Formats: sequence, C-alpha cells, structure tokens
Amino acid sequence: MQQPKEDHWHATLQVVRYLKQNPGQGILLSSKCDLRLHGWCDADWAGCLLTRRSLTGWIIFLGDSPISWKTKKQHTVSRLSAEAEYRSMAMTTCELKWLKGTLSSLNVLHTIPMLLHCDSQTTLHISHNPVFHDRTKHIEVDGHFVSDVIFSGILVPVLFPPRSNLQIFLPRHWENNNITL
Amino acid sequence: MERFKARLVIFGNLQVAGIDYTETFASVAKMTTMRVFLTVAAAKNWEVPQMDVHNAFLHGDLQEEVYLKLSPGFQVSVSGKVCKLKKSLYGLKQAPRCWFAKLSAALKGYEFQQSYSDYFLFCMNNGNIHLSVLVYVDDLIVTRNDSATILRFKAYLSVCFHMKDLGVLKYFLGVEIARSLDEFYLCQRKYALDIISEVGLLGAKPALVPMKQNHRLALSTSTLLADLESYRRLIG
Repeated sequence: MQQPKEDHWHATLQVVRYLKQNPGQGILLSSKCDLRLHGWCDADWAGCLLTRRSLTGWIIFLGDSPISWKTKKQHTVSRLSAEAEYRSMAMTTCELKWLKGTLSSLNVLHTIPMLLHCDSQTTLHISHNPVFHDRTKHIEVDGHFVSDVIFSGILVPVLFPPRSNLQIFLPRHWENNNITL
Repeated sequence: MERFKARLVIFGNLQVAGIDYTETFASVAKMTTMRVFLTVAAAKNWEVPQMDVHNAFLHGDLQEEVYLKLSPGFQVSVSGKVCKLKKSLYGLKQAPRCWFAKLSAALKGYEFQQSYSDYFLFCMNNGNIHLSVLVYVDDLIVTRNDSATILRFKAYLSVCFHMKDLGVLKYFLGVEIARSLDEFYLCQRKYALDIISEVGLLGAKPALVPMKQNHRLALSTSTLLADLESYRRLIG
C-alpha cells in the first residue's frame, strides 16, 4: 500500500476487467423463502504462499438468498488442515449467531436449528465429540465454542459432498470456476 | 440541473481535539443487515419505502462550545465579533455523531427499540404491528406489516425533521434494487461501470478470473508505480 509497484497496478486492472465481464450481475433475494439460516464453510489450508497461513471462507444463505460471505486469512499458522477447517467453522458460527440475533430484532424467531455445512469429516467428528485429547488441545477455544453452540441445539453441522456447486465461492476453487449456478 | 445550492461549511481541520470536539465516532449500517432486512421484507411480502432527511447534519444539537469566524463579506457594525454555534453544521467533525444521536432519540421516542446486533436497525413490535427502520446517515428504509402504521410514522418523522419521501426503494448504499412480485434483485451495475470507465477499460477484453492463482505480489520486484493517486483511488 505504501509502495505499490507496477505489478500491483496490473493486478488491480485485472480485477476491473473481471468486473467488466458482467457488471450487472447481482444477487437475488427470493420471497419463496423459509427464513432458515444455512452456513457453508471451508478452509484453504496453508493457502498463503508467503506466510503459510490458511484461508477461511464462508457463505451464508437465508432461505435461498445469499446474505453474507467472506474470505479471510487466518491469524495463526495451522499445522493440521482440520485445525484450519475448525477455525473457519468457528468464524462461521460467530456470524450465524450474529445473524440469528439480527433476525430476532426483526421479529423473525429462528426456532429450528441453523445448518452449518462443512466438507471435513474430521472437523465434524471433533465438533460432535466433547472429549478433547492432546491432538486437539491447541484448538481448544474454537472447539469449545462450536461444540457449545451445537450442544445447545441451535446449530446442526452437516457434511457437504466435495465438488458441490457452492464450493466455487470458497477460496481454493477460484481458478477453475467453470460451474454455473 | 435541478437547482443551485449554497452551504455554509466549517473547516473541520481547524478544530482542536478536547476543546472543539470530544467524541466523533459514528459508524454506519452493515450491508449484511440490509440484505437480511430485504430478505425478510421479500419473504413477508411487505412494501419497502425509502425516505431521506433534508440537510440532515443541520439538525444535530451541539454539546461542545464552538465559535465560528464570520464569513468574508458579512458586514457587522462592531468588528471582532464571532458566532457561537448552537446546532451542528456541515464540516464539523462531530456532525455525523450529533445527527445520529438526534435521530435515534426521535426514533426511541416513537417506541422503537435499537437492535443490539446492528445499532442502525430500529424495530417496533407492538402487538401485531411490526415496523422496522434501517438508517444509513440520512437515508431511511422502512418496512412494516400494515400501511396505516407507516403513514402515521411518516407523519411523525415529518414533524421532527424536514423529510423527503423517495417512494419505493430503488437505490440504497450504492446498490440498485429492483423488485418483482417474487423477488428483489440487487446489483451495482452503475457503480461497476463508473469504475471501469474511470480507468478507461470500457473497450478492454474482460478477464475470466479476478486474480492469478499462486501470485507473489508481496515480493514483487517490478518498478515503483509513478501514478500513486489513481492506484489509491481505484483500490478505495
């Protein structure tokens, strides 16, 4: 930012040319909607080549309408891919809880559990199993956070199959996004 | 051209912290909240009118003691006089904060509850009447389950401030909003085209991906950019 180089300028222009492909593209908020929150989360383990930190990615739907999405580099280096997945799950859970609060302000009481879709079998096992052992000690905070939400009954984690359409939103699938929604 | 405007503006950069202003923080509504708001309105099939406040920042009440030098050309009999401000003016550092304090007091006076999730969302649940307002500086979008309620609310706000009714929601926070019977469609076509034309790429070939994979931009050894200003403007 302080000392931008020629390469940065060209990279920025590429983003603008990407916009040009379809400037009128937008999102659709449908009225045929059950107002249930669905979160989809994924992580790109060690996705940053310079720091080897992982990327978190999520998208949240209210019924069929996309309302919140984000890709962000995690703060710490994860040695396990499950650890990166777990952190991403914790971040998505935070956002889901916030959205539930916002909905209740709007007098929409979300009584059924929210769904959190995740593509890592390991992560799902950890989230269901409240017993922690040595290998998961270092992700304890995120682990307890997600487990608590699951055990309170407001969130249900679900496994989503690899190569599902929604994965194009999540970090590591950008280059080959030839999937149409 | 619709009309000409003239406005008295303060040099906020000459204000001294702790004397002319204390708190200046004023945040704005989140885009996510707006999408949740509209999805709920679509699902419940409620109308979403939009309103705007004329000269919003002039409504705020000033807590601090601020003096203003008379503007050039203003004739006074005794020289060396200054103005003491009672209300806020455009350009003051605390103007947005004063305005939001005034507006939220007015809304709470109408039995609205400020949401804890987003302070710019105000809701009222009174029996089976439900009314929500989302505020973005001087723009308000409203939704409700009953049209008499909204007329009463509009009348109340017009007493408090000088309001302008913008009719059905079409443009909010830079997002174009189109509504059909079944859905809302949100896009930023105009905003995107403005960016493209600003860098003169209207005729360029569109790119398929926004960024190359495995780039190492942080380690780039290419020459330093000469035109810093347009780069910074483009990335915001």
